[in-house]
Amino acid sequence: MRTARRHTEPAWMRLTLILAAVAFTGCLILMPVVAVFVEAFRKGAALYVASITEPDALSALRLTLLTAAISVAANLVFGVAAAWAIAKFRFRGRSLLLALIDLPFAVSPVISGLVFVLLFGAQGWFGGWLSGHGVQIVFAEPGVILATVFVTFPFIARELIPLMQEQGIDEEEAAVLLGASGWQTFWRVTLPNMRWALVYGVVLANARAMGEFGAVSVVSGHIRGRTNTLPLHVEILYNEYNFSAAFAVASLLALLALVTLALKAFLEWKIRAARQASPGGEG
Amino acid sequence: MARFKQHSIVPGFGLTLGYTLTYLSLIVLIPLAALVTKGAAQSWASFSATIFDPRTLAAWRLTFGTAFIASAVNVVFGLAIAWSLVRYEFPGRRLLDALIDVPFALPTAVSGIALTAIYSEHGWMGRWLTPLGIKAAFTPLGIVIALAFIGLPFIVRTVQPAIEDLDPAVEEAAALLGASRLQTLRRVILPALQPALIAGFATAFARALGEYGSVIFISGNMPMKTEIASLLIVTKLEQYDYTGAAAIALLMLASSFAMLFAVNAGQWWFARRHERGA
Amino acid sequence: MAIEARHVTKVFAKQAALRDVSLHVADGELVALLGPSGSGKTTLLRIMAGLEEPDPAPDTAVLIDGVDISRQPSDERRVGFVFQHYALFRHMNVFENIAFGLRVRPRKVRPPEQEIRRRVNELLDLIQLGNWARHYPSQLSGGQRQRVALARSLAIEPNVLLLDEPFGALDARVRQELRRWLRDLHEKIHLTSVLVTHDQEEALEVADRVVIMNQGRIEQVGTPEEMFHHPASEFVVSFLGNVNLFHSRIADGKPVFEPAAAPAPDAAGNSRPARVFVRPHEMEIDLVRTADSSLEGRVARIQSAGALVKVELITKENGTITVDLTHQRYRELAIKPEDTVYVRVRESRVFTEDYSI
Repeated sequence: MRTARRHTEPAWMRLTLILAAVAFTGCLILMPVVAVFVEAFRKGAALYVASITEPDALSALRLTLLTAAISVAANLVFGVAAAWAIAKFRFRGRSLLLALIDLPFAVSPVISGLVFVLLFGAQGWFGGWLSGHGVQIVFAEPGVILATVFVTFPFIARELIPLMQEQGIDEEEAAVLLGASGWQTFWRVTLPNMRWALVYGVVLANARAMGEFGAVSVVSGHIRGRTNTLPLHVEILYNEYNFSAAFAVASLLALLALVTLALKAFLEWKIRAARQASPGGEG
Repeated sequence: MARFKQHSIVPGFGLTLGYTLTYLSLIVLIPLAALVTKGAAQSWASFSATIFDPRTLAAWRLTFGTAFIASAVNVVFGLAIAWSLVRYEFPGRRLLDALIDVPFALPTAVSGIALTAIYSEHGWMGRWLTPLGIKAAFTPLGIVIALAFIGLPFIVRTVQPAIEDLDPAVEEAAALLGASRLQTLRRVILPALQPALIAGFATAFARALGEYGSVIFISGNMPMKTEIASLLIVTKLEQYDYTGAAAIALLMLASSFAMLFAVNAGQWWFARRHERGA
Repeated sequence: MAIEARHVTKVFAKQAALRDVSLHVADGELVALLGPSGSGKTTLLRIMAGLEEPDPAPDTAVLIDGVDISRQPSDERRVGFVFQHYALFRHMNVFENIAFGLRVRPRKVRPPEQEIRRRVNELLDLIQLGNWARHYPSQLSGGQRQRVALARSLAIEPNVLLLDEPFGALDARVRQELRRWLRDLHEKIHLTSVLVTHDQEEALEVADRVVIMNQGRIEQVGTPEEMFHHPASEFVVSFLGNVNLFHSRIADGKPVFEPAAAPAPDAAGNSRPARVFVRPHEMEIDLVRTADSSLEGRVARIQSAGALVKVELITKENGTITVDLTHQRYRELAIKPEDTVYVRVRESRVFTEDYSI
């Protein structure tokens, strides 16, 4: 007879927990993902292709790509600069700065868009000055881009800072003592050490930038063919009861999400491996 | 500069800090300041008129209520999921683990229309609920479902590491002292996981308060009935009621911050009391 | 109650942690399982506790008071276990930790709350932490935490007390204090106890009997004196205390290291290579060569170490050896580095090649 094992739950409990976990996740999470693709192809492949190649969809795609490219690039530069300042130096107010960088995470998407309307909208702070000079920010592309930059602001910095803090400043100090300039140190010493965290941050920021809905919705004015991103285009199609087309465009975004998740898993593995090799280990 | 920053031979501090602060101000601080001034600059009469308007109150009740229920449900199931992922082996475990991150990555509009399709009357799940007299789409229940969707990963990913960090020796000690497995779970393990569960709940809750895209499709957006606070903000904007929108936005921001602050403070206090190794 | 392990074997992923180990611990005894890491001592302890199961075999059994524990449900076994890192319940205070084992008993067997309180307070006095009842583990020092862990396991009135390197995580001084304290406690309550340690000083000081283990097998079982003076194998000798190793030959029943000879009680036959183990304090230094003191050496280093003076000598045939002298003897000899002296062996242990380990 086996020893009464008290180190794990009884079988009925294990089974219940596993089934509950699987059922809950299956119904809540897996189902919607599958539904997107099923609904997209409901009216056949021809309609699917037509929906995603139709001019408004293409211009939405263009704007989405442009927005993502600009916001990720801008936040990448920022992320690197902020990580450098925060991780390699000690100064008063460092924790406050960290908290401020995290702010956009705590702000609802709608509010993220609202703030720019309050700044640049007709009644906003700069509204008068802007319309006087014929510059349109809100209800135009620049607004969309700005709102997206706001929303993806912390992503890259948040990935870089802990990693750079962990790696310390020994290597950089060594480089400087050997005569390297700041830029050389950065390019040759720091950057190689944080490659994967950088890519990880970019992947996450990009996914969020392409998929952002609430903030952009507030700021864009929903002008078809001009200020619509893919998510907004999905909303327009849906509100017109053009369901299959809406899902068709949505499926592109869903595909993006799945690719993002795959890349995320791959990069996490890479970063873990790099971490294990690192403290003093690398040649 | 001497006492502001510790001496270092590594260059670039001035440049990077300067750029960081400038960019931060332009993109984040100034826009938020605009919100705060617009919201706070109005008279109390105007502010309270917006906040205490029946439609706003209804939206507020709905937003808080659904966020709370969704996060509470997620705590229960999130715990089951995290526990199963860490402690058990079963076919499909890796897939389950990967699925948890989907709400993080999927654009909110996409999840919004997908959930609506599934829970509407003839949808995959809706068709089981209709004969039971339960309507999910265009009701608060639908909102809860959508908020549960986006909140789940916050809880699972916060609780998972806490479970991984549990000391097996403590469980063995409890068993040797005569505790049954259920007693050990209840008296030893759950209390140890409490901080993570609370932190996860708070993060999911704060996120749910401000959620927009996943909810507006399934909710139906009927004022006084299924209109969430963030939608109300958008509506006010469309009506050019900037001050009204700002008032509600300020309130929402204050609630999220208060919630996150409370959780951080609680964790700090808890850590001081209990964590120094046992 | 006596605890016994019979023919226990345990293999973890192709590595044998225990090979057919049998051990009987008498009622009221305190036995120490001593050995290097990987010797299997912790595995044996955990198997005795029921935390692990031995590989199944017909004659394998673990018995407490004659009853096979695999036939007994966990909560009737009443085994007290103390972990190296305390395993206290962080979110409960000291009182609640100690009371835990009593509070989780099924209603029928559970003592009334008053009785629980009485017992816990009694134990708190025993471990001298009466004023710390409301404190939390994070507020206690390592030594205090381990005492709480001990009290917690005693609260359930165990039949057997098992301790897994209980003082391993503590400072040297705290370790010594607690060691003495544990020994006193054992004198008082005479609970059958098994202690796992890799510290031989601890084992020899605290235990009634010592079990030396190596690579999954028991090398020797005996009192501390037996271990020290009559070691059964090379491993035991070299594990316990500093030794000098001489390679010599057995001639006429005596080990011969040119030109000195030492008594070899268990040698048989001629000219067989032997290994002779001599402890630093079992030798003497003379300034002139005599019949007994014929091992020549040159003084390389002299070190004062507390109560002894350690003299390092370089010999031609046997490399460097260490001799411990008392301060008085050292002053009498008045030797200094580079002096030539002669060593006499008073006591030694001899192992010839046919001794299998």
